[in-house]
Amino acid sequence: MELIDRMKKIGFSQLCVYCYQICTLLPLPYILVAPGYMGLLTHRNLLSVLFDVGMAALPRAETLALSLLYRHTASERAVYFTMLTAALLLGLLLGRLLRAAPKTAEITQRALAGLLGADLLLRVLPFPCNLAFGWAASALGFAVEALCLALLVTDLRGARRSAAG
Amino acid sequence: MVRTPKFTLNALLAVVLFFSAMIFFFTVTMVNLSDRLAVNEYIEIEGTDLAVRYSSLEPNGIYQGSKNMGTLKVEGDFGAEWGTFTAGDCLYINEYTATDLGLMLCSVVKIDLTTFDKQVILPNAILRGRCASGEPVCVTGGMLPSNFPETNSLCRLYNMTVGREDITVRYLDPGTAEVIYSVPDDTALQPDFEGRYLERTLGEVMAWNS
Repeated sequence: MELIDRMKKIGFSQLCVYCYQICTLLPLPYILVAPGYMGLLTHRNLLSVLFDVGMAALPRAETLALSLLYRHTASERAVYFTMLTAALLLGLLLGRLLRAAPKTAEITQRALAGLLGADLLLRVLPFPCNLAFGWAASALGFAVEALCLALLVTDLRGARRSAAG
Repeated sequence: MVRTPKFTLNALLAVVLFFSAMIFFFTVTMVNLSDRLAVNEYIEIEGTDLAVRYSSLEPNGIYQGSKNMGTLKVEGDFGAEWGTFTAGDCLYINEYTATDLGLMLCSVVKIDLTTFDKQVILPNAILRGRCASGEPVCVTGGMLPSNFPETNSLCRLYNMTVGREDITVRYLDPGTAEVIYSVPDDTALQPDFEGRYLERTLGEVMAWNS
């Protein structure tokens, strides 16, 4: 009961933002530790699995943008800091928008839900990039994004119900 | 009203950003510094007065002229070990790019020997030599052994937008550098490559694969 009250206080949309930020954090240890232990780059290991899961769970547009950035700069540092900065900026921006006036928060939630819906649709299309990190990571990424969409829809429904009541 | 400070996820990200900037830059710089040995290798390119030079004193690249006194014509990390050759006024060679963490990426480039302009013909490919009938033979998609997407998550990320993930053997026209024949072959990076592709003419390979 206490957990439900706390979740209501946080807001399901805020949980969705947390989900995204945590997924962004997952690949970071792999890149951060790799300069010291080059063996991490040539063997499959737990950190590599975390990397796969984290990258697959990010919105497709961001993962593709990171891949393009990596190809053009050939720099893992650029990928690392772009990922971290994007997570921080998105967290700050969305946190502010979701705590703004109810109308603004609702528009933000709708926009996010729309983007996530489009992204989920993009994931099921047979593009080779959708399976770049393997079936398991792709399925988990899809599940995380579907959960985020469900959280946003729950918030939107709740807002509509309270407006009607 | 007294406000109690909250440690949010955004604050955690900001802290991670700050500390990892220091750790990352420090470790990468230290690893790069510890790798630095004094080298001055000079690999001559057959039939030309050019040479590929790796040096810790001068910039790496293609030099023209006598050893150690030559002039730098094209800067970059070029590799002559897999096969480098000239056709007319063009030089075909591999160019390597190292990422921050030391992954080696490879592209096949064509260098005009009159103007020394460099043109990337096949990105993420290795020039493996010439076949018996003289066409340059390249392998695309596989890259170097340390860059196999199956073993390396970063290479999976890199390969997401490459478009050609399958390992393919490509024959180029020596004059125009256009791909004239392609054979998808997952085993192309095996040691028997020479016998299967380089010791046969293009016609024989085409007949063998048809």
